[in-house]
Parts: sequence; C-alpha cells; structure tokens
Amino acid sequence: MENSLQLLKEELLRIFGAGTNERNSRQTAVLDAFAHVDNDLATIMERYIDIAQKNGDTLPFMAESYAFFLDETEKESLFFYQEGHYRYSTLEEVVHQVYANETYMKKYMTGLAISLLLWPQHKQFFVFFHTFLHEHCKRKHAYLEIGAGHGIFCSEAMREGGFSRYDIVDISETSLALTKKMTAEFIDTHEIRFIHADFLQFESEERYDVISISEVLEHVETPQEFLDKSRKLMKDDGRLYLTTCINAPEIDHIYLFRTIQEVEDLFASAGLGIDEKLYVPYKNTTIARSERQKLPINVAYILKKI
Amino acid sequence: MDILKELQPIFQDVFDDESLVITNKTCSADIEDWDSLAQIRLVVAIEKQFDIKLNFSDLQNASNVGDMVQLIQSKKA
Repeated sequence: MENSLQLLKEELLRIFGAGTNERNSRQTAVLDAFAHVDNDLATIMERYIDIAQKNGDTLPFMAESYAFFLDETEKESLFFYQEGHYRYSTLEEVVHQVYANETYMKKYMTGLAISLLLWPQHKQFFVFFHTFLHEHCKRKHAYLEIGAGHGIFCSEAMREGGFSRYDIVDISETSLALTKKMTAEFIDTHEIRFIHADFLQFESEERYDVISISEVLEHVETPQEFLDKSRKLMKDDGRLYLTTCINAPEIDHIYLFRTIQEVEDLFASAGLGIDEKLYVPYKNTTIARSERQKLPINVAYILKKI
Repeated sequence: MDILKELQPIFQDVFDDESLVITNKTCSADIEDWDSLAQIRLVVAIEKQFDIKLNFSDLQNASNVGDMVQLIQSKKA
C-alpha cells in the first residue's frame, strides 16, 4: 500500500479510537476495507488525496470529514427508522441546508469521497463504472455528467473515456469547485465545460454519447422528469450510467425509493431500457430481506433508449 | 415486566433470525451483523415497544443487553 493511503488509514483509526481496549465497528470497517484495496481504486484514491492535499486539505481533515459523514448518516438513519421517511422532501430545503452551505458541502463531499474507498457498495460501483468506460466508450464524442459531487468519477472519465467533449453540470458551486480541482490536469488537453445549474434548467444543443447520473435521482423532487430530460439529451445509440439507492437516508436525499421496482418503473416510463445492472443489498443480506426490513440497497445501471 | 423476554422478538426481528436467543450478557461481539445500523434499528424498536424515548448515545453506552435492560427500566420508572 502506498504511503498516502497508509497515512489516511492511520488518521481514520486514530479518530475512531484505535489503541483503546475495545475495537468498535468503525475501526473494524476501516481495517477490513484497507485489507482488500483494489489496485485501480488505490491509485485513484492516492490521486484524490494528492490533489486534495495540494489544494490545502490535510489528512486529519479528510479523516474528520469521513467521521462527520458517518455521523450525519447515522443521524438521518435514526430519523428515517423513527418516522418512515427522509427528513427533507424538497430541493429548497436541501439547497439551504446543504448545497449553498460551503463549509458543510466541503466536509460532506470529502467524506463521501473517502467512502469510495471504505464502503463496499461504492467500491463495486466504481469498478462497474470503470468497466463501462473501458468497454463502451472509446472514440466517442460527448460526455455529460450531472451532479459531479467530489469530481472523482468525471476525472476518471476524462482519464479513461477518450471523449472529445465533457460537460459537467452541478447545482452546487462547492461541488463544481471541487470537481475543477480534481480535473485540473485535463483542462489544457480536453474540451470541458463546467456549468452551475439545476439540470432541469440546463439547455444544450449537444446530444451525448454517455450521460452519467451517479447518486443523483434520490436528490431530486421529480426523478421522472429528470430521466425524461436525460433521454432527450442522449444520442440514439447513447448510454446512460445511473446509480441510485433505496431506503438510504442522507441529509440531502429527498426522493425515497422503497423498492427496486419503483426505480425500474421510472426507466420504463422514460423510454429507457436496462443494458446492464448491478444490485448491492445491505451487507450480509439479500435484496428480498433488504426491501422487507427497509435496509439500504444500492443499484447501478447502464441504460439505453428503447 | 420481563424486559429481557420482550427484547427477544425485537432482536430476532432486527437480525432476521428466529432462532436467536439473547441473554443479559449478549453484546455486539456475539452477533456478526450488529453494526451501527442495527443499533439504530434496535433503538427505534425498543422505543416503540416500551413507549420510551432514547438518545442514540444511551444505547451506545450500553455494553451488553443487560445494560439495555437496566436502561429501559430506568426510563420506565
């Protein structure tokens, strides 16, 4: 393991109380995750850490942000199981609480980026995305990413995808700023537009070979409208990479999918068919049990026009 | 009120295991899937079953089921 990852691991274990008599579940999760690090993902996370450090983030800040992300997830999970729904249901509420709050967004996005290394479902999705880029995306023209967040996925699309043009749309200025830093090495060699906008207000004459909507649908009030618009922006032989989650409370999740079928019904209504899919139930459970007990399920798709 | 007896079906439901039997000494190290999400679901189920209000930290400070039983007793007193 390279040094930056080892140092991050040490910071995480320090924050989660390593050295005390009793090992807690957070320490165990960190140790388990670092024991099984995929080489490609390790390279990407080292790159992320390197860029973040060059932009002034320290390893303690990254570890603290991840702890913050876990704390916020637990807080929202408690609310969800007590009340049976997500805390917020409108974009206005989460813009105010989250997207327009630069300090909160910075910690949240940094913690989310670290979860790519530590959460099995996020790791699996990254591999799924990487495979998709390698197998489907050579000699294609236009890539659109909606909701770039921490910028890691679109930076990999720029590194591996071979597109002529990249359009990155995000409703959060903080996310766009983070994404610009993550993709700075490509600015001079790739045609990239960073667009601060609500995707539903975004206009483009372009039609895209690949559209990436990763962990976005659960953040919007009208996912059907979102998918309808995405389909319009796809080339006829284009592909839509999409991930979302079921029964997965976070502070800015406003649309609650309760079953996989609810998600896939939206695809059908939007005229989108499933080319490939990946279901990740809650750890050590099945899809059936996860749905029955309202445990988080993560799903990833490659969609096409039908 | 036999609190331990009332906790049995809660634990069996949370961990989806009808054969699970808990004692006052049962702790998270004894049940593989007892993670933070299971802890949250236990908090919520216990609140509903016993009509009490718990802070998440209340249960985090309980090192075993016996501590939970005492906590519930104190909330019901």
